[in-house]
Amino acid sequence: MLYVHIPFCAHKCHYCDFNSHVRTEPLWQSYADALAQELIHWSGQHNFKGRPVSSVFIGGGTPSLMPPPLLASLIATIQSCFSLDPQAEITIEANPGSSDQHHFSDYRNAGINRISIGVQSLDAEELRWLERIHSPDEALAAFQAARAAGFTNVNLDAMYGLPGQTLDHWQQTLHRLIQLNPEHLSCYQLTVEPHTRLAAQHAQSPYALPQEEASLAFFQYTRHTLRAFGYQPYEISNFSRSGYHCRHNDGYWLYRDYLGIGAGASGKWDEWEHDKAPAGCHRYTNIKTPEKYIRSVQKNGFAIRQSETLDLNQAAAEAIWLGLRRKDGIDKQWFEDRFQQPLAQFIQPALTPWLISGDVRLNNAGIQLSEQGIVLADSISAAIL
Amino acid sequence: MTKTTTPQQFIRNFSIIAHIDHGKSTLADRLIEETGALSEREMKKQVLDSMELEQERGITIKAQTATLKYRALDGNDYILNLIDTPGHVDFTYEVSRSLQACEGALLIVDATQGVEAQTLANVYLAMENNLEIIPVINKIDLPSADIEEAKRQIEEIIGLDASGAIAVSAKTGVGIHDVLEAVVKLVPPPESHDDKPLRALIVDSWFDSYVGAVALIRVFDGQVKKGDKIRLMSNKVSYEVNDIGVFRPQPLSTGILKSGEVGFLICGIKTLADLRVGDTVTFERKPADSPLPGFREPKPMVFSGLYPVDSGDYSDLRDSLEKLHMNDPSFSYEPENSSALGLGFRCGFLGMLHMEIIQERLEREYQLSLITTAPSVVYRVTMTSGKVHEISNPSEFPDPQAITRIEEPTVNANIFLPDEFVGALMKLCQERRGIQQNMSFIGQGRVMLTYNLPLAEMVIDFYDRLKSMSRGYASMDYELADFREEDVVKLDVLVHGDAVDALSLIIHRSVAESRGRELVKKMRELIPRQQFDIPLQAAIGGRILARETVKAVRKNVTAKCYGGDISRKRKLLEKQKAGKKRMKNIGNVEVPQEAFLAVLKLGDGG
Repeated sequence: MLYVHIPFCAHKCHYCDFNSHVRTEPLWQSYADALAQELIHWSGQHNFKGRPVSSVFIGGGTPSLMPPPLLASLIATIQSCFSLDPQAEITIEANPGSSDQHHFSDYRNAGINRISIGVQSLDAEELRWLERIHSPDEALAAFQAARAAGFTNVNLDAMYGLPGQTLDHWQQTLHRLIQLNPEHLSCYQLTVEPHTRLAAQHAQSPYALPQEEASLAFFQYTRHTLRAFGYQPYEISNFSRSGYHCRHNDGYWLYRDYLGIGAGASGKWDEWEHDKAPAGCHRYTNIKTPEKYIRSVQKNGFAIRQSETLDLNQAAAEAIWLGLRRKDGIDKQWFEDRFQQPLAQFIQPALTPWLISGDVRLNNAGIQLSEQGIVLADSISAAIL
Repeated sequence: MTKTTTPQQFIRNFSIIAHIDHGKSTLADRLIEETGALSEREMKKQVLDSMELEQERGITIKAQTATLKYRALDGNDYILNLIDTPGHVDFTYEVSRSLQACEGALLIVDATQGVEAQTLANVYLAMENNLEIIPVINKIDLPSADIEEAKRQIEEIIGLDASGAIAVSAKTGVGIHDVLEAVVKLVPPPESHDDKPLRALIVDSWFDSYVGAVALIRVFDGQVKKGDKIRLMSNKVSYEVNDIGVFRPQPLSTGILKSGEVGFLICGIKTLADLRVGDTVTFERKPADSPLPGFREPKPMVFSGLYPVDSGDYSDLRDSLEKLHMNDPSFSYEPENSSALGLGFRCGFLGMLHMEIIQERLEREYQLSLITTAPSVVYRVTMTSGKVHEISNPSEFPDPQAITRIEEPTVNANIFLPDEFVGALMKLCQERRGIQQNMSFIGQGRVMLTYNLPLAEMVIDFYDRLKSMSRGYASMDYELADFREEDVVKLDVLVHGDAVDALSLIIHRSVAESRGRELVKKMRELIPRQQFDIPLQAAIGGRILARETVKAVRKNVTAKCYGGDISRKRKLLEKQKAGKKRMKNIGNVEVPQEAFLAVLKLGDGG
């Protein structure tokens, strides 16, 4: 799996804690060159050399700001560096208002077969509060443009639990999104992330954000509604038509290896030593500032800012935490092969109270959270980490 | 020059007494600097407050001393022994021993604040010891300084002639020479009793990891040399003097201390319990007939249970208490077993500050994570059988049927504050079952009130409440008074249906219901939501007075978690878990440390 980060945005929204930067003149060419150089560097490293790539995700930032020729050559570089599966899922993120439909067909031509559009809301006032630069109409137009360009696998991102938002408001947005009939929907509750402008504002004069009970109502309403319309809740915030779950994102929760390319991107690989005891894993994150990232890649070929190594038990606990986010949970056979210990023993006694309460289900296939358990996923995961 | 043959007439022994923050330590620094006992390079700010904790709290906990050499304007060289005193009400006894070792005291009054509660308390102690008191008005460099008003207050409130008060700024150094001259001229020299059998007062003692117990002594009669066989009069234990000398302020061996002199004494004593403050040192062979007056055993007034959060740390806690006790024998500890908290210790302290200091030192110096139970005082319980028990632990509270009467200790508190807060203070004292004994207006819009209050009410956040209701302007000092017969009961707290012994309180019946209600309400805020609903109840006997419920967690789930979020979000969850580790499991319920002291926090935010 390969993740490519495009860190530029037309505007930095106050709630956003992604690595995104506003530049009057984005350094597109030098940034694209750095991406290519970093790809070449990693493709020569022993842990990634010759490995098949089953999915590519171009995220941001706002990747749809990137000039299409540069995107096309990026994908060409990927193909030349790795053995890219012909069936690979290749996703790009696009923001309405930053994209126009000509580009969408260029993406198709470059081999991109999935598009994720940051709609967030279809209420003009909510969009203004979120500081999004698009209108509800522009969001709808972006979806139509994706269809017109031939995308048959489209995701729409939406947010709920905004200040003062009633369940009614959210129902309207959600139903209009369902009417569009996308293959995939990601519905997130607004989270006040630390070190954002929103966090600072909220600390000064708190917004009327939904409390636990109300937030639970939003969450459950979303699941029930989407399920009724044929969208499977395959992860806490992700819903899809059958066969259209995001293979790339699912890979994170399935504990697969991934390479992260670009400013602020993260990667992970298992430290699997052949013929030796099973080992943990390794994670890294790149330098965040685009200019510094470019300089580091020019100098070293890579731009790691920090990295950490997890031992076998830490990695196993992490795999359980991430796996429990999935509706299907953790596969027993996979876990025991990977971590060389019985799953049932590993989760006890930490998860015993949750097994008794029925929030965690353990059977021969593996473990997963029950419908009630899902809303307590963090409490449960904190017990095992 | 190792011989200290200075005749007594050139010795002056003095202390500095002041209300907290009136500049005692700064003045001491300046005197040391001025007499050249330390070079400027060695001069650390406030050298006399050497313990780490003291530096942080800005108060002096263990008294220390310095011997200063000073050539006065009369051309003679004088030895000035500055004896530092602890500055808090919990350590009144230590202060009085320090003052007993002196012939004079510098009374510092802040020119911007005037006389405060501790000023008064310390002056009374100095007067009891017949000291020559020299008023010093400090902080005259500040724009709001009012020297005349400070003098007026010294005369009116204390009744001391302030016409000769010395105006100084310990910060800038103005007036420091006048202070040194006044010490020489006004403080009487110690009397010469070199020929009498040895009597030396233990002014202070502390533990040094290299040499063992160190005593600060003031020789009153006779003289003591290295190699002498000495005896401690309270317990008749004998030792040989290994080392003896003075502090300048670093220790300097002199081989001898004569009558009137102040310095250290080291005898290879392993435990401080043998070097008790206030005790008299004499010779083993030719002992004095009677000890110096004033010795008494330290008597703990406030008790609480100390338990390790992790029960596996019990033996570490025991070892740490043992070590700390060698340093500070004034607190007591004995093993105690709680059904809720497991093995721990019941500890007795001189007062609330003392309790906080011991806990902090255990947590900081010995890296222990502790649960402290609510402080309690000693109740005198007369049983129907006629027997009298002293009870300081709610779990030992007898069956009410078998009790004839219960008496609780009281204190007399002097409180100084601006008159605009008098109403609020009277309300606070009334809530705390106080009896007003005196009220006088002392000028400049300030009032002195004297209350008789139950000690039990004082130990429960009285001082914090006093400070917050007066916006920090009130000052207080207290002394122990009589026991008073009262109707007190045992209040139980039930968590998830079970009474938790470590949460029980002994409390006056008239406030039991309201306090119980506030207590469970506060605990509801302190106990985090868990997997299930947790009822909290307050009860007397079997009767439930109040009930609150900690609701179960309904939703706790991260919305977004993708490849770039994993490390950071894992750390957040690990933090959630680390928080849990510092909690104690009571049955199935995780209770944080603070919840055991909830009763001290009833004042915060309702």
